[in-house]
Amino acid sequence: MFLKALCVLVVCLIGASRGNILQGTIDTNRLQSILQDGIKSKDITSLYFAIKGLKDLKVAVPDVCQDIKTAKYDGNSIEQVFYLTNAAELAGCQNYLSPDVLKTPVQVLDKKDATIPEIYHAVYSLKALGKGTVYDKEDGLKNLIQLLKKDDSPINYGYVFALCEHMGCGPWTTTHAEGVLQAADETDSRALSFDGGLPATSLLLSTILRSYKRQQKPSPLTETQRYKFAEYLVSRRSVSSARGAALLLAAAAALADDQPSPISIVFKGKKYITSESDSVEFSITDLLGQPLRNLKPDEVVAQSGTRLADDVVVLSKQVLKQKAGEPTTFVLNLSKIKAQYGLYKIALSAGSKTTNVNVAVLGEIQVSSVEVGVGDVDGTTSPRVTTVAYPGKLPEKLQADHMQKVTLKFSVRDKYNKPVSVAQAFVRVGTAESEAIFVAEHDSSKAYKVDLNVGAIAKHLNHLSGTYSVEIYLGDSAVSNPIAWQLGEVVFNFGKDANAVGEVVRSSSRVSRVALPDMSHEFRAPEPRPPRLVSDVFAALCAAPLLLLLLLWARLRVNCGLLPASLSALLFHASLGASLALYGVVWLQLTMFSAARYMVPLGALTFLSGHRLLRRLVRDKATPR
Amino acid sequence: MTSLMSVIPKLYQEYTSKTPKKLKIIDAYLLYIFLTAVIQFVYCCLVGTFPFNSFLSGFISTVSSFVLAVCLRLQVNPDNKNEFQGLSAERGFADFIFAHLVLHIVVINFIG
Amino acid sequence: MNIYLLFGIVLCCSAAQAEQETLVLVDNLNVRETHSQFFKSLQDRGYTLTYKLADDANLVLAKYGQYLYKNLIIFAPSVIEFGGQIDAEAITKFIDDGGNLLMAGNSVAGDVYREIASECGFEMDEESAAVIDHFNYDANDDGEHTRIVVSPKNLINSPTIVGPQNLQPLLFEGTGLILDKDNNLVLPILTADSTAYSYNPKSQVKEYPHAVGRKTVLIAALQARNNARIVFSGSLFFFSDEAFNSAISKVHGDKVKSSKSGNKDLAVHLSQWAFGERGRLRVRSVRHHRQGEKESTTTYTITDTVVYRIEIEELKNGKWQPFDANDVQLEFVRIDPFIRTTLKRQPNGAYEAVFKVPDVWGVYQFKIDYDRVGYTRLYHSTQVSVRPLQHTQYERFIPSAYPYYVSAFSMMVGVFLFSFVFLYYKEDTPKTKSE
Repeated sequence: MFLKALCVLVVCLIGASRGNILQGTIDTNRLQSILQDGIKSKDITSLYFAIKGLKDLKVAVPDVCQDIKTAKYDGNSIEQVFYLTNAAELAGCQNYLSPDVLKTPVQVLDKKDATIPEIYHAVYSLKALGKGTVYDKEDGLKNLIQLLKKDDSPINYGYVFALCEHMGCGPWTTTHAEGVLQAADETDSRALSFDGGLPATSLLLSTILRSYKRQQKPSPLTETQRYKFAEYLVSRRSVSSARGAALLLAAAAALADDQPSPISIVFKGKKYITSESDSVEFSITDLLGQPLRNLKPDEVVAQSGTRLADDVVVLSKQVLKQKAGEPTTFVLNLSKIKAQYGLYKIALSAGSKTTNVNVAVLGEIQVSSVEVGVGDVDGTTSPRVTTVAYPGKLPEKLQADHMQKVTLKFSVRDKYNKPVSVAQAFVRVGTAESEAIFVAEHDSSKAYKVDLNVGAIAKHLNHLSGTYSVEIYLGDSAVSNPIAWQLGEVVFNFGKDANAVGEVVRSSSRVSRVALPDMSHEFRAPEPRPPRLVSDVFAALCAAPLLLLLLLWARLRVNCGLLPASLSALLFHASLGASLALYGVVWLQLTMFSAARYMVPLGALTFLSGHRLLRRLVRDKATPR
Repeated sequence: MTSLMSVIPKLYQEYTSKTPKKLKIIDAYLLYIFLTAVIQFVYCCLVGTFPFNSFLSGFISTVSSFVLAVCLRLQVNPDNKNEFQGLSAERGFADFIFAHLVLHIVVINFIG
Repeated sequence: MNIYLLFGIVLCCSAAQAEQETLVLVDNLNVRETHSQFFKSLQDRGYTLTYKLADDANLVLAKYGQYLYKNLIIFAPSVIEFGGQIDAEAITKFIDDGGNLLMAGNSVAGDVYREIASECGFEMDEESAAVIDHFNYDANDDGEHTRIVVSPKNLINSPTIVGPQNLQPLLFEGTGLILDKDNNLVLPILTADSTAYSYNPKSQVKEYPHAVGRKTVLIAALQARNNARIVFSGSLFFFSDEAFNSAISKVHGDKVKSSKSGNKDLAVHLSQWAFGERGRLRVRSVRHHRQGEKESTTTYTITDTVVYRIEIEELKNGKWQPFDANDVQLEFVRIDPFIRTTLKRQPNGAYEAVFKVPDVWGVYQFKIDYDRVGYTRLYHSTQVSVRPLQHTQYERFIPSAYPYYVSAFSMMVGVFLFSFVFLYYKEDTPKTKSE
């Protein structure tokens, strides 16, 4: 719908539909670079596959005999020996191998319980060293069939087929191959592969197709199978090891070689074109990106082109032009429809195969100006309107408070100034940290409008009053020039429950994942103390009344006339004095418990002597001298 | 006012002549205690209550001494003989000393 | 003795093994090949990957109450229902029991995905919705602008999770996630740009999209309270070999070009974090004592100066090494924290705080609660009691109290003297009379 209104300038092709034509090829250049990296490897496995892959690519293999000689391998592993010997054979340096390598394959073949992979590796190891006739055809095949009964996994069939090539039991292969092909696993009803992944698929495809070819029989693959295996191989094109690359290459080469080869149609170069170049290029190749042998240039035809919106047929039987000097590149000139926007379905046929590609004709959009109005929510006053032309900015910061709303009005037009609608017409209000995005809605006349009710949008912006930038985003999958327009700044005032911009808003939850502010304990302030002099003076003052007492007593002429010359008097005063002195000691040293030891006898002594003294004093008083 | 002015010397005369010497000794003792208490209080008002426990014990020490001395004076006063039948001045003194011993140990522990 | 030792070693090995046991649930075994680089990076780091089809009828996570796997990878967006004993509930329980989960979907991911996502605190956009960015799409996009180029600036600022350096742009194609703002256990690892939104690319924007702008989260993570980790990507493509190897060239805007996407680095880092290779902390030792003393104690007196020392270790490259940070805080708590102080890093790998115990007594805790984005939560508390001064510990012989001391002793001297005067005073009146 929206596309109807788009200005037409750029043609872009949107994903081809799911025909049975392939939509990708295997990039041999990439594989070659992986293999060339692999050949530097010290690992015999990588080395073998790198040499094999490069041979398949018919690329010159550097002299690696020294590497093979020094490569590390496990002489007891038949697989490793196989890689070593075959690498040596492919590189033409069997002479560099020590004769010891023969030991393991011979042992394996002598073994009673050798498995199929072991036999395969052993036989081919020996063959690589020119000792090919050890495995007898009749008995060998019987034995292998017995073993297959035990384990009939696809890869085992693959090994048996490969051994058959060696033993000359090709007819057996052709009788069993179709059954094995039937057993391939299907993924998403698009791709076929064998259990065991790429190694199994590669081995089976290459041996089966080679055997059929050698016996000059027609290929056992149906067209569907061929495309599905090809689909699988394309999905595996991002292999990264030399082993994967060599296996992929072997399988792809076998499949591409098997006529009619699966056809691949891929967009060449960019997927959209501008008014300067109003045609699209396809590269039509086989699985490996090679020109198709059986394809005549005039067989590449755009059978029909239909506009999806209204099913109007816009082109039919337009032959694609082969680009000079590039046999795989075909050009479809779409100048006829470049002025007519919309989604198109184009049926493209190459030879007998047809596929549908969706083509969208896109355009440029433009926005001339936007009206920014600030007015009351209830509409009592007419809004203040500022008009900004693209790509200008607001001349000043607009102010809006929570009783107002900001309205943006604009219309999106195509190149011919016709209003159009786009998928994305958003208005972003935000700061560097936070943002809120609003969707502009258009009315029947395709004029876009956004009402920003300041009070209502506050919650999207954390109630933070302050300056926000306003941007308009206009985009669509059918637009060649999406527009991001920085309109300027608006100061929102969200009213009394607002916070200032930049203020940290505490989240309600307690868990905190940042360092919290340090806190320290406020200790009680020490009590104020008077200057030393004051307390000393008062200390002296406190002692002064004692002197006064002595003075007064002296004036009263006190005497100790009644002091009896008795032991009890002496004891009483001594113990009383001692008790008080003990208190002084207690005060100085705070040893209450040890002081108690002295206090008890002292107390008793004071009591007894006091008692005696007082009794005597009373008696003395009663009997005056 | 004038009557008051005339009363004081009379009162003083009465006191010096009529009061037994023993009571005068106690009164001097009381005056001494009273003055000590007043000085402490003034000091406390001047510089604040810190250290409060020291102030309390020092002040209580004087107040208690004063109270004990007053009690002793009451018991010793010959005018009150009838009220303390069978209780001699010596007995009162023994109590006085005992109370002091208890008082000071408390004061010492609390003064800090 | 030897047998025990051997047994111990075997136990240790099997425990280490269990850490690395990983179950990979896939739609079809092809995923193993299309995402081989990612799986290979895991295998190179020692993980044992067990690939199973997500609808395999014999799927089990646990046997006899014991989990067979420590980590779970779900790369199966098209699964409608898991097979065997696995369902959303079993996966939730697996996480509750400490298992780690790495999950990637795409725009066709079904309800099982949505269910698991919401259990983990994310919300996945509706089926068939994809993240669209008309301003930041890759040149290889097939027309719907869903293969978007995301700047590494949009990554969460946490080197522990995303690695120290992410400079290459990232390729993303899939659905958007929405995070609950109030749940701060969930982390937006990678967010889209302001210009992006999540919607069905085949239909026009009629309703407000579920995720718009930077609120559109592309990859989210969760570290549960039991330190189980979950990484949830809206894009399975993100982890694919194709995304790892693709060159990037943005069509609009700054026209970023790069010969290689940053997906591989980020994917590897994310898996390292998710499976607990990084960002794990533990307490090695805790000591506290009075300053100037050696012995630890459980009782402090108010206003004591305390030295608190904790050693924290971080798992780095498979080894526990001293943890280096400058924001580890110690709280001294009695119901509420009284003191919160940042620990000082000591040269020998310990953290130390020296502070004065508050002059309020009670039962306190030394509490370390280090919870930072990307790290496991480190919590350690030690209880101590703080008591008031003993009666012998108060300040004595204060000059301001001298008047009181003097008075008290004056009273004692006074009574001593008084005892003489009172007892032995001899009325001399009779003498004068006689004279």
